Parts: sequence; C-alpha cells; structure tokens
Amino acid sequence: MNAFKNKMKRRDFIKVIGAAFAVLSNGIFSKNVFAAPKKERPKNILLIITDQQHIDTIQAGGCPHVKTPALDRLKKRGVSFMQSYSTNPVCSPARSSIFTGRTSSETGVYVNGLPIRSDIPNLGQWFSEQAGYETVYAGKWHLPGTYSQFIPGFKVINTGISGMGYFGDISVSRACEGYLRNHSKSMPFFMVASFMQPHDICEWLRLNTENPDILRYENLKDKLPELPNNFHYDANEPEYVKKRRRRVDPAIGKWDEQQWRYYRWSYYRPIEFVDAEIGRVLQALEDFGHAKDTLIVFTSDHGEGMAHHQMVRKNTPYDESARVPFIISWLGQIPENKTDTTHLVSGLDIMPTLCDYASINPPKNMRGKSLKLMLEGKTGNESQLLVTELISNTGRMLRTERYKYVTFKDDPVEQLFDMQNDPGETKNLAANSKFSPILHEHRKLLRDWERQLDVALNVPDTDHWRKA
Amino acid sequence: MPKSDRIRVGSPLTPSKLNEIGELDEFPISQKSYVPDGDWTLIYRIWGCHGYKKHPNSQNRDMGILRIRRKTDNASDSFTLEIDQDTINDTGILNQVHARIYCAKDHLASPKEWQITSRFIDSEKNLMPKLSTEERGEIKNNTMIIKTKGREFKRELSTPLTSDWSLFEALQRIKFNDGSSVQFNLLEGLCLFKPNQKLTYRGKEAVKINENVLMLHRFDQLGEGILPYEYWLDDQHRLLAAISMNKVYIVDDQADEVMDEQIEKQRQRYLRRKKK
Repeated sequence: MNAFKNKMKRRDFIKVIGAAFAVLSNGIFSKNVFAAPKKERPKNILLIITDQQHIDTIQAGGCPHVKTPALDRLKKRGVSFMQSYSTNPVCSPARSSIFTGRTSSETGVYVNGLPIRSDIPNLGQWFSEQAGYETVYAGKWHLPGTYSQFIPGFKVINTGISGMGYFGDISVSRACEGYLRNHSKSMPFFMVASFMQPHDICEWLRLNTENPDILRYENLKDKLPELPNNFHYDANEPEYVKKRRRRVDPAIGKWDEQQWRYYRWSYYRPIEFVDAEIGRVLQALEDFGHAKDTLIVFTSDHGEGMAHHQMVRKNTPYDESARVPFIISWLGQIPENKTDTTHLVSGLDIMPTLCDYASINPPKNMRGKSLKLMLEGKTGNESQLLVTELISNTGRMLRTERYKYVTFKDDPVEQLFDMQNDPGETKNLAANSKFSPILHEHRKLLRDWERQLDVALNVPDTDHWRKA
Repeated sequence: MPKSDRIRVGSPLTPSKLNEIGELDEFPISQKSYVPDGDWTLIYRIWGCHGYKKHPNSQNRDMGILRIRRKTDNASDSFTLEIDQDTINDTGILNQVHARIYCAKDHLASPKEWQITSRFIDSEKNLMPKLSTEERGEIKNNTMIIKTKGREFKRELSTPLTSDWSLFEALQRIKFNDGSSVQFNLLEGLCLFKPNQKLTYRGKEAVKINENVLMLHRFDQLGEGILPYEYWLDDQHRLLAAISMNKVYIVDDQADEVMDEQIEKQRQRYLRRKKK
C-alpha cells in the first residue's frame, strides 16, 4: 500500500512542477504552441458485473430466447466485443483478473475463496489513490468472502445475499440507485455493481436434478429453446472435461431432451431478471444526470454450459463456459452500436483500459492491453493471443485468431479446434497429423506466455506450465 | 458437517417438499373468518433455498420479511395496501422498503398512486443516508409519473398493470376456476416494468405437512423478467405461500422474531470479520 502512496506523491510532484512551468511560461510561449491536445477523461466509471452470464444472452446481440431491454440499450450505446473470454471460468479466479489486470495464477486466486495477493492493487485501490475517484462497491466480491464489507480500496454500500441473487440483487441495485440519486456531481465516482444472477441457475439445477415425466408448466412445451447444434460433442476430450460432465446434474438425473430444453429455458429467466436490475441502475444514472459523464463497462466472470457439449455450469475450456459479454460505453466518446467480432479480449484488459481512459498509468505487469486505441479504430493487425487458465491451475486454453488449443496437466489428450470452420468446437483436430505444426506452434505460444508470468507462491504446479 | 455431505433437493419446491426437506415444520391453519376484500394483515417470511436439504452448511436462510396491510375505504374507488419489506443482506446490511399503494378496486388491484421509500441500515445499526430514496408515483393514461427530489420523470407503460405486492392481494379475489387465466403487465417494486405476465389457476392439490394433508389451490405465473411463481391458497382464498424457484414467501406470524435472529446472526458475522 505504501508503494502506491509513494507513487502518488511522485505523480503529484510532477503535476505541480508541470503546472508551475505552464504558469511561468504563459507569457513567453503562445498558448497554441504550448497547449497539449485536450485529453477527455470520464468523470465517473461504472463497472457492472454479472455472475455466470454467457455471451449469447442479449436480445440485441441476436439471442432469440430472452428480452433484455437494459442490456440492449447499453449495447446500442457502446462497443460489444464478441471474442471476449473469462480469464478462468470460475468465480473468484476470474474476478481476481477483472479487478487487477493480472492472471489468476499471478493473483494467487487459483480456486474460489482466496484473497488477491497483497502486493497487487485492485481497481478500487488504484483509482482512489491514483485518480481520486470515490470508489464504491455493491454486491458479490468473492475475494475471498462472497459478500464482504471489507474490500480493500472500496467503500461497500451493500453486500447482497450469498447464493440468492434472485432476492439479494434487488437490494444491490437499490443501493446503487440510492447512491446515484444522492451523489454530488462534484465528486467523481467509480462504482462497481456486482450482481449474483444468473448464477442462481446452480440452485435451479439442484432443484431440478431429477428428470420428471412431464413438464411442470405444460404451456411451455412449444416455447422451449431447441438443443444447441453442438449438443453432441467429440468424445476425444481430456479426462478433466469428461469427469465434469459425469458429475453434474443431467448425468445424475439422466435427463431427456425435454429436461435439457427446460433447463435452457430456465437459464434465460434469471438473465431477464438481472437485466431489469441493471436497468434500474442505468435509469438512475440517466435520471440524475450522470449518463454523459460515465464510462460503463459490462461483463461477467464466466459463462454457462447451456447444454452445449452436454454441459451445465462452468469451469470448462469450451466457449459456453469461457466466453462472456464485454460491452464498453461512454456517450460521445466511444462509438455507438458497434460490434467487434475479431479482437480477442478478456477481463485482463479492464484495468489497463480504464487506466488509459482515466489518463493514469496502470499498475506494473499488466497482462492485458488497453482497448482504447482499438475502440477509437486506431489499431493495426498485431498478432492476437489470449490464455484462459483453469481451476486449481490444472489446465490452459489458448486462443489465437483462428484456433483454440486446450491442454491439461498429466493428460495426454489435447484439444485443437478450428474456430473459423468449427465455432461449436465439435471436431478435435489435435490427433490429426495434418495439424501437427499448428499444435506445436500453440504449445510454444503457451510456453512463452507462461514464462512472462510472476506466479504467486501459493499456486500449485507452476513449474509444469513453464516447462510444458 | 462437511459440505460434501449436503444432499440436493432434486425437485422443485412446493409446500410438501419444504416439509419433506425439513425446512417447514408447520403450515398456518386456515382462518374461517378471513375476508380477502376486507381489512387484513399478512406477514410473510422470505426464505431462500440454496438447493440443498436441511444441513448445517446448506446455506439456506431467511432473507427477509414482507408485511402487507389491506385497508378498505368504502367511500372511495380505491383501497390501500401498506407494504413493509425488509431484506437482510449478508453481514447484516438491512434494506427497508415501505410503500403505501392506492389500488383501484379492479381485479388486478392496479396501482393508481403510491409513495415508496427505501433506506439502508448498516451492520452497526446506523442509517446510510446517502442511499435513501423517496418518491411518489401515479399512473395516468398509460404513463407512470414519478416525483422525487423536486424532479418529475415520465415513463410510458402498457396496461393492464399491477405490482408484485398488489398481486398478492389481487389473486386472493380471483375465483377458483380450472384453467382460467389473467394476463397483465407487472410493475415490480413499483419501479421495474415486466410485461406479458400470465396467471393461471391450476386447481387443487394435496399438500402433505408431516402427517396432515391439506388441500390447497395453486396459481402459476409466467412472464418476462421473472422466474415462474407458484401461489398456494387455502379455501378461504388466503395466500399462504408464494414460491418462485429458490425464493419462498411463507405466511408466518412469527416472522419478526425469525428476522431479528437472522439480523443478529449476520451482524455477528460482520463483527467477527471486522475484528480480523
């Protein structure tokens, strides 16, 4: 913590010297010569996080099974990244990356319920100390406590109710609404609204494990979403993935097609619910004059199986579990209603992007990148690469522009998918000799990526990934 | 007991299931004098299920309380609902919502005018004034007009309309006719507009509580922005329970005591963490 304070003092010193020089030089240089281009910076920042929301759950994004007026509106007011991945598709590890810009192996949060390594600052610490924002937090934290009033760098305005987003999220959004209605415009704020939904699908699964003979609401029969195209999968999978499928509710309850489809229908309901709660926050932002001054980021910690590959819940490298929404909006500053289908982005990019917009340096060793230039349409064709870690540091998923490579510790079965021709990940190409060069290339990319990391001491199997 | 010992409930919650999993020991007995369109007060304990049967680590817990008071006014074309809903957040932050709703004397108890306040009490029992809200609302010609902090906001809505709290009153006046249904739009919490709701009467079902079998009437509600609701009423048309996936409202005259215990439990959690 002292290091941040010292850094701030140095920055303040530089600012004071700079200002003094500007005053002194006012009479010598003309303003046009000396003036730097005006840097717009958002007065306020709002980070909205949901829990377990797959990317394909927004009506305006093309999902026909939900009504999401609030997210539709947000999407139309900003840029949506479609190749957006969780850094580790399980709650705490993914959140540790969103809040620090570091991988979960670096933050030390390799499973749920661990704290972020103490020498890595989170968004609240950084933005309150480096940029003077009033940093407030409402909702789920999970680093380590699911709901905590003691979050470093943040003033907690409400917690929520653990595992009960369907009720607790209401008072989370009410707290945010209250804050926005009463907040003095003179003080910039950085608000995190962290909702639990649609995570309650986990409760739904435990309450619907058994396969009933009849649909509980018979009038839904014609309204259930179809099974996804990749319901059937390539069985050449790592053992970890197979094990996850064997242990979850559909396997226990021996689900038939109707129960699978009812589960899909049921997953979209908490999406609609949380959309309304997000809508309450966005409405307060608009009604009380903060909308034009606020940069908004919306994302989720991880996705949901949704019957793709016959999976439920998260924690697998498949896209349904790993891909998450990522929308960024700032009226008048970020293009509106734009969809980016090419760039690979992740939770690692949030810290550097927000720092860039706030005109402050990011903390050291950022593993993501600022998306600001990309959002301004100023990027070239730099090579793209993204890594998703897996729980307990047991596996890795590496995405390049065209391929997805998956490997697990102590498992000879690797996966390689051509995401251009097989976006549903139904044909594992790893065992096909024609793709050996690509496989080798991806192994090397992963190894090189691993070697740059400053992995936390508590994380197991670190050497495996460096040497792999 | 370790978490690994927890047993999934396995099938949807119903009053019988709540009893079977050890989370509901007794169910309130019907009051013969109950008049749905008279003056009454119903107190609901709001309970959340994590999906496991009763277990020290189930994480099932009481989440709040809802008190609805109905006051008739024979001289007026409306009646009043007084609402108090408390939400007990983890580590003891309390959200208290109070509303007074003037409802039309129609089949949906459509809200005509209302006042609503929300306030938060922190874990050390102090008001968090910067989170308080207070507003007045009314509906005129499919427009909701909200007045708060000297400002006025208008939002277009579609009717027929009711609020979730008004619905608790309205469905007690609906006749028990097999298969009959009512369609409406919802103004949840007098704020969030959730259209295309359908309430359907599903008939009478046997509910087993310990060794007793009660015959209760069930309505289902499906619609946008909500998870399906199931409402359970006795022959007197009294709403005994509303169950929506893992969220359960149960009529409980002892709910205040249960809530006080829960608040204290959560505040103790807060104090333990504060000490650390």
